[in-house]
Amino acid sequence: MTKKAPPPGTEKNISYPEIPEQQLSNGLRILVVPDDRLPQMFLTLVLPAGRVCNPDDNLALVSLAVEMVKNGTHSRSAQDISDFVDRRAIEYESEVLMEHSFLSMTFLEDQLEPAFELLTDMVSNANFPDEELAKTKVRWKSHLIAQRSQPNFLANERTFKIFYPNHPYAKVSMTPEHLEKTQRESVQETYRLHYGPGNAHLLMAGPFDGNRAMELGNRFLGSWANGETPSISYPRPADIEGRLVCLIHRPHSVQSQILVAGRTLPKADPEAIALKVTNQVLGGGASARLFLNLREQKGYTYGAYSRLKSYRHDGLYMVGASVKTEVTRESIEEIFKELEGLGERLPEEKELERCQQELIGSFIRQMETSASIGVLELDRRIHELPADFYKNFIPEVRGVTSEKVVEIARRFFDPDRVVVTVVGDRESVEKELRGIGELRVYDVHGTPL
Amino acid sequence: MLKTPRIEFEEHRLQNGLQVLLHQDTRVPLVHLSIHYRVGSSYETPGLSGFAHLFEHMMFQGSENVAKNEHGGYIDNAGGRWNATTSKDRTNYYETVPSHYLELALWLESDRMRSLNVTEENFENQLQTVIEEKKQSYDNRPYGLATLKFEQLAYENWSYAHPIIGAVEDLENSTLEDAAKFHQTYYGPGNATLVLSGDTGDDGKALKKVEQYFGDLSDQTHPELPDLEEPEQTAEKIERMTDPLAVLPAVYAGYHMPALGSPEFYALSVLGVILSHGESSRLHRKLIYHNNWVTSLSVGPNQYKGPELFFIWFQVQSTVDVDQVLKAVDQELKRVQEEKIPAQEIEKAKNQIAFRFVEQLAKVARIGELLAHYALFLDDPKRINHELDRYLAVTEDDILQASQKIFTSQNRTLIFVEPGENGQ
Repeated sequence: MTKKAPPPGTEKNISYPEIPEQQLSNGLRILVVPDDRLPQMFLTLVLPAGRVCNPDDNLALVSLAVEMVKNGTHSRSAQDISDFVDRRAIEYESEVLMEHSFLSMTFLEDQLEPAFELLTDMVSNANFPDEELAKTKVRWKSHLIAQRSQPNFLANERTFKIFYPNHPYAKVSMTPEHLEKTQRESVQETYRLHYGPGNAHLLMAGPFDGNRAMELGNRFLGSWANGETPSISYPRPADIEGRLVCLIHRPHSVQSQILVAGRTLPKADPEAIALKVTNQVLGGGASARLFLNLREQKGYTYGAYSRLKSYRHDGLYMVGASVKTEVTRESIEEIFKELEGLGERLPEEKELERCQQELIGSFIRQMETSASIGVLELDRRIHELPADFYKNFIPEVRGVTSEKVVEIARRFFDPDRVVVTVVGDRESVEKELRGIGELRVYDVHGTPL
Repeated sequence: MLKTPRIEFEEHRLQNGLQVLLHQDTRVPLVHLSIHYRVGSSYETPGLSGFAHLFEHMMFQGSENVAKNEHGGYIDNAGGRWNATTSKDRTNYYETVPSHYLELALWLESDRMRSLNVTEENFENQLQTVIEEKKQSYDNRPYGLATLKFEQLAYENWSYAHPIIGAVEDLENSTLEDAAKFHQTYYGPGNATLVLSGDTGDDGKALKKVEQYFGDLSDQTHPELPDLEEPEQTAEKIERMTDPLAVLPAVYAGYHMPALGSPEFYALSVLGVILSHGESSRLHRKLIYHNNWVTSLSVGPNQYKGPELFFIWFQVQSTVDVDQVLKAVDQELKRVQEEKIPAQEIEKAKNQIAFRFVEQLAKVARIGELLAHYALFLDDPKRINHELDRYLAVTEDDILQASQKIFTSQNRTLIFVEPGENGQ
């Protein structure tokens, strides 16, 4: 038995496949990732209809317009649709993100045509029955109530509100009042505006080729007519100078949920890859500085990580940890120290290599299924990343230097320009937070206390 | 008829007792290594609850040639993914790495199977980490404490009744010596299954490599199998709790049922799908779609090796009477005891089960974990190619009989959770 780790064997190359884009005459772009290993298929339609498309006074509309397409079309009731998908084991999911909505179907190959036909019916013939809208509103109201008991949600919501006052990126979550006042007509109007082939992408992954895909695309979605996606204005986000501390009073909490956030870069910025590597050094995993300090050295928490959120016009890093209440202040100070250290000491060669390799490994794992390759490619196209972004991903990651990491850290990971959010019991933590920066206290509904 | 892909694999046993399962799939240069040890929280003794999971953390704190945290560091350096999980019945350690790092993964796993080298300081550090894990996963979460309480109430046998995460006082009373003893008792080749799945290298070489790293380990394990037998429940158990973190009421219900792999298990798994999977399922239609009484629900057998519970959970709208909802659930259970389920409803459930089964075969890591699961839980990894048939063979009579057997009030455990002052 050897005492030293065995050296690696010969690395095998992995190449990102060519994924040609074909377009229907109505503008719908179709991407195909062929894969005949399993009799399973994926259809994913991406629309440029995200939370940002909501009007300021009603953050429920886009989500309702996406949800309600499965609750009735001109020829099918909500029950018909759920009978149809369940009988055929079609897994249907929809999700509204910041800037886009996804409608996905996963199914076994013998259900391809029925699935395609249903998707077409939903996106072009939804009819928003009043009764279904009323049911959805009741269900969602309870979810809104329940989500305010989740510390992660509360910290995240507050962070976006602070960074993006009067900006579409602050549109994190609807309120019960938004649901209450929503009428069928406004949901229908939102659907009319945002559902259309013009700016949409359709991903097809599984056992079919490009010709079959185009034939199906034309047959089912060829006559889908365009909406009129309105343009949205994005004012400059707020500048964060100094430290702002927001305490959200969640009675009976037995830990403090900490979120420390700072501004970074838009998704398609040429330095996005250098930013990813820098964030990886700070808190990308269980070998990163935050985890080793807060968990493995101090035992303050089960885990501490830094995540990047990036959008078309801006981005944030977010350092998160649920910590022992009595070390809330110490934990924040340790996070500050790590932010400071990131801009002060060059990562060692081994540390940098590890971080690069983590990102590359994660990328290779995404090459394993046609669905996950397709999702990468969709992401590249909807965010207008360079054509060779994923083709060159591995060498680009390897090309980030230690000096670049420190430069990025100094520009963005500055502990003197952060928003700190703490969700915990006010009685136990408020005193601890004095003197870190301007302190604001809120209840779980966002009302200042 | 669906053509389910067949998973080809080899099964070997080294002289020291290590079971080795090899599945080759070279489409992506990735390999998944997983070792499943036959020990979980059900093997613990009273006073040391939570120790199997705490010990899982110790396995990352250093071995003869690998220092604290280096295990993960090596795999991260290779661009791999790693973790470990502890259940009631087993503990697994895995890494998915680019395939040219296969030997590194084997070396790391063999080093910590051979010996552990944990200091008092590191033991204490992980103890604190696990206490925070318990808070994050249970104490600070709505319904977290009820989730822990439910099995304590439902099972009479301590082995399954006590939570995997354990009691803080037990964790605090555990020692480094307990860890050494635990390693010797359970962590050896004779008590483990090793699976390699993915780009395992040229034919025949994978087994040689496993032998190279694990062949010289001697087996010193002497595991005592837990007695999982659960006495028949003779009266309904009911408890009411107030959860200050919850904002809506919730109900936990469970019925004792036969173990995984029994005919009743397959019948009741199909029934779980009929009752709750998809918006057209019976309970979803009744409780959510038609009446909007509940916000979410979850139904079906838990997946333990020993005596199972058919589990029903639902969260209730604030304006709705919980008893009324429970009555509606009871009516549905009564209906499946009295009326055979129509063929097309059974077929719908089977289509959903087949879909889920195929979905699991998309990644080498999942295939590897499934092989190990069948080896440990049903003593036969070949089940990966036959298990689906058992679900597809379930008949209307099987469901009727299994339902009549288990859905009785004396066999039921119930917890009602009321929200505290934050409730709406």
